[in-house]
Amino acid sequence: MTDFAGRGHLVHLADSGERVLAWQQRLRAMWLRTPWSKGWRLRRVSATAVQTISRLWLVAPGILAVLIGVPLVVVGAHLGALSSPEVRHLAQTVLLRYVANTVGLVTVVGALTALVGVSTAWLTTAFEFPGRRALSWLLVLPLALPTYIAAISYAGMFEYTGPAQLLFRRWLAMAPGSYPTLDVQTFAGLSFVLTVTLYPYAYLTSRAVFARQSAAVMEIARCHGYGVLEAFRHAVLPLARPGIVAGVGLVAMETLGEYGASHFFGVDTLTIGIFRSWFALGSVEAAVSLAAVLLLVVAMIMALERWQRNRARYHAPSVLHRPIPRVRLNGRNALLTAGWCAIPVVLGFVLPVAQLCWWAVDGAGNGRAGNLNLMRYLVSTVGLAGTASLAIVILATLVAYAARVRRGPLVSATARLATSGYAIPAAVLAVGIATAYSWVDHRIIGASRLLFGVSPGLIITGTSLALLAGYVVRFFGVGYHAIDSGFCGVTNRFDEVARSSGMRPRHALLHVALPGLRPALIGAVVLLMVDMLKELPLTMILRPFNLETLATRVFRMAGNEMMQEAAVPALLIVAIGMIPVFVLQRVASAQMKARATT
Amino acid sequence: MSKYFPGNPRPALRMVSLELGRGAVLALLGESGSGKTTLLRMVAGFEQPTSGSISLAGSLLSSPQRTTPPEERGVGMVFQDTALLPHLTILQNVSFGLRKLPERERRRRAEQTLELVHIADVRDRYPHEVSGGQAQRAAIGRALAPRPALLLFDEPFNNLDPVLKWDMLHELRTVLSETAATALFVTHDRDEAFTVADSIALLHRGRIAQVGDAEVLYARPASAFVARYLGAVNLIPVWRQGATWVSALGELPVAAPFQYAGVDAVSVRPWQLRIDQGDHSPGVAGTIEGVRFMGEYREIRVRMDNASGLRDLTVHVSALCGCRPGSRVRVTLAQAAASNR
Repeated sequence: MTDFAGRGHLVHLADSGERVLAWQQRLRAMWLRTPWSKGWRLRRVSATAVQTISRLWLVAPGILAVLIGVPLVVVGAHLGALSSPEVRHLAQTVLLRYVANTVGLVTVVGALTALVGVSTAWLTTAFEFPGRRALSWLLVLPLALPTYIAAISYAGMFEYTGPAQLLFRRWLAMAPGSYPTLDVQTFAGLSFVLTVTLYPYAYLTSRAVFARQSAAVMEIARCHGYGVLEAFRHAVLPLARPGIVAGVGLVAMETLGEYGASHFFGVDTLTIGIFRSWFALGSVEAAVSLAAVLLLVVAMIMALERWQRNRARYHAPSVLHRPIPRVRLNGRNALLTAGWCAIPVVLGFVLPVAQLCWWAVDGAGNGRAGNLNLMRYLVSTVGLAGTASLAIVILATLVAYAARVRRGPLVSATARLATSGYAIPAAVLAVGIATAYSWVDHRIIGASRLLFGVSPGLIITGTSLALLAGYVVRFFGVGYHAIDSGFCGVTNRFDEVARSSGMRPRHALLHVALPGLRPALIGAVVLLMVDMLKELPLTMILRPFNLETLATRVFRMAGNEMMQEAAVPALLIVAIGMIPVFVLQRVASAQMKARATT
Repeated sequence: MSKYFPGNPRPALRMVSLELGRGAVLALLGESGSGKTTLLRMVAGFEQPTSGSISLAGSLLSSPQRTTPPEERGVGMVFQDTALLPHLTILQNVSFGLRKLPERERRRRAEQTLELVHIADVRDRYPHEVSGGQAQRAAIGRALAPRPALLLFDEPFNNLDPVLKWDMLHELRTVLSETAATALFVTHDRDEAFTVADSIALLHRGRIAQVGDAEVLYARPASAFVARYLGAVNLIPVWRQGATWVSALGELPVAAPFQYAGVDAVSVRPWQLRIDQGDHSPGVAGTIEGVRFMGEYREIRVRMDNASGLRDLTVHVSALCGCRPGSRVRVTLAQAAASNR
């Protein structure tokens, strides 16, 4: 069985229990695991294997720990230096605005995505209405749309030449100024765009916990005097809280790291501040300090989550699991429900994509979408993403195996550190990596000048190496969890078959485990490449000057108001982003069939 | 009443009719798939009857036309898995159904219930921090606390280990009689039904095979199925002779035999038979085929001689019996068997 575990896609979150498990594993990595998470991946492998393989394979987590540890330390060290004059200047001028905007945005978007995600997840879980099956996966589609592309679309939709105002002018023949206009490029507009593109995280995690919840929960509340809505509020919702919080947590992380949309809509968040300091002001010190503040916000959100969890547990130790039966809705209720579930799909996917298509067709008509050099950007993007994905898959396989062979606290700690990359906002990571590696670069240059009298140039930060390192750190968790859950499927049998048939563990791994892992490996590569293809902020900071990916191309074209040029690469990104969504649907329906036949 | 599930032509329950007096405890006994849980869920209001109706204390709860929602029935339920809400403490779980009461009364009632089910010491713990028995006690307390007119138990002790299960059953029995609660107890286990209930309704393929006092079901089963379900049994053919029923083992003062394998038969429990060694003893002759040590007794299988018209009989004898396989014996009805009927 293929287990796709993508940060941006959560493909594994179709309804099955295994998927929920995989999901929990990912969340644990993200939320710095809780004590009870121990012992979920421990498999015995023969003692010889432990000795021969573990030492060798400990190198992989080690490399990763260094890769991710260095930028974190660089940024974290600035927390101590928050009294420097540059930081004091920041504090007196912009810091408050940055922090207020960031915290406000996270709060508003978090609340709204929770509302949309939880309501749609519950409606598609507990009720049967026309279109439910289709909607239950269409609701995931906005994940294919990066926030910056949705922002471009919405900005264009409501500007003077956009379809909204054209409607008034052309079809209703109203004069400019006589019709109402909507300025979306505001804090509210940004909250809206982020909500309609990010709610699938909350939707998927909520749906997963609802699917795992036994029908008994509702029944208990009902026979203790709670009506349907009260039962939902007092029993169903509290039990689903960890899943909801996890989904909203992902939304918060995405919002904190968001760059493109905030930039277009002119909302000064901490991430925007980092970029501005880095590029416009050229102040490394200020950028790193802001990154440290942002890191502090992340840590606070995580602490908040752990604190609210307290002592209570949320998974009922239930032996029996009866899935929640769907209540059939008819007439007006069915229509309202289907409508409510369709709105997020329309706002988060259909409308923005329609706008992009309109630009693309328009551009093709006037020839401006002609010479796009699409191939060039595609090749460089895929080359980069492919290299990084391959590196991640190899490292992740080694780390996942090492974590099984050697269960010591050292290995699990490094694995935990290695997978925490996507909890760190991209801008923070990028600033840390760039600072750390430029220091290394300059030491190399110095040493080379001294020894050979020539300068080799910026070996790491001047080439794609820094960006590759950034991708590996940021997306390692995605690959790791996809492969790790793949391992969960094969190790048990693999160990026993290997040992009972007298196969050497090394051979067993090669001939039994790896073939079994193949779907997981392929799935991991697909997810990783899609994620990297869409990546913007990390790429913006770490890319060498001549390198352009599809994402940066879209961003630059849109920044120059060249919407028609931006539309085609943007559509390409959306199309590629839809791959995992379709795979998810196929995997889910295949499982549904398998379950129906057993 | 009857219950058909959509897409299944065979009814889950057909023409079931039961009455339960105030303060009585009735066990719904039956194999899995016999419809006992469906019946319970209909009483709770989670399923609707296809035909027929359910009334509680004079008010109509369910009929095909209208149904009172579960939360308005005043019915408490204890589930198969404890189903305590994991985000609430034991005290909060027990108070779960009391939220409509004023704060002080709620507190008092919850404390009272905690004492009643002996879990006052773990009131502030979360469900995962208490033992299985304590969790199940809390679940019972949660159902008891609102003082429902009717309590429903859906195999509540299935997941407990046997020793604990018996303790819990006895405790439940005490609690039920202390609170004078009216209860329906679903189980597939005869001993559980005997322990906890006054009367038993045995369900078989959606029908009530027999309902009545536990002793009546045991001693005078209405069918071979009932006889077998309630324990080891010998089904012995009988025929009418004047006013009485007679078997190969002698006269049996039985009111009404049931049909079994095409003939009239009665149930005779293994302990109601006696065996004697030696050819000159009274009774029907046979050969011991097997002896099984069962602790309190020995279970002896006797192959009866062809002339008797009986086949194999199972006899329970005291553990001190020196019977060996192959020895010739004679089987008679013990005195108890005759008087029991």
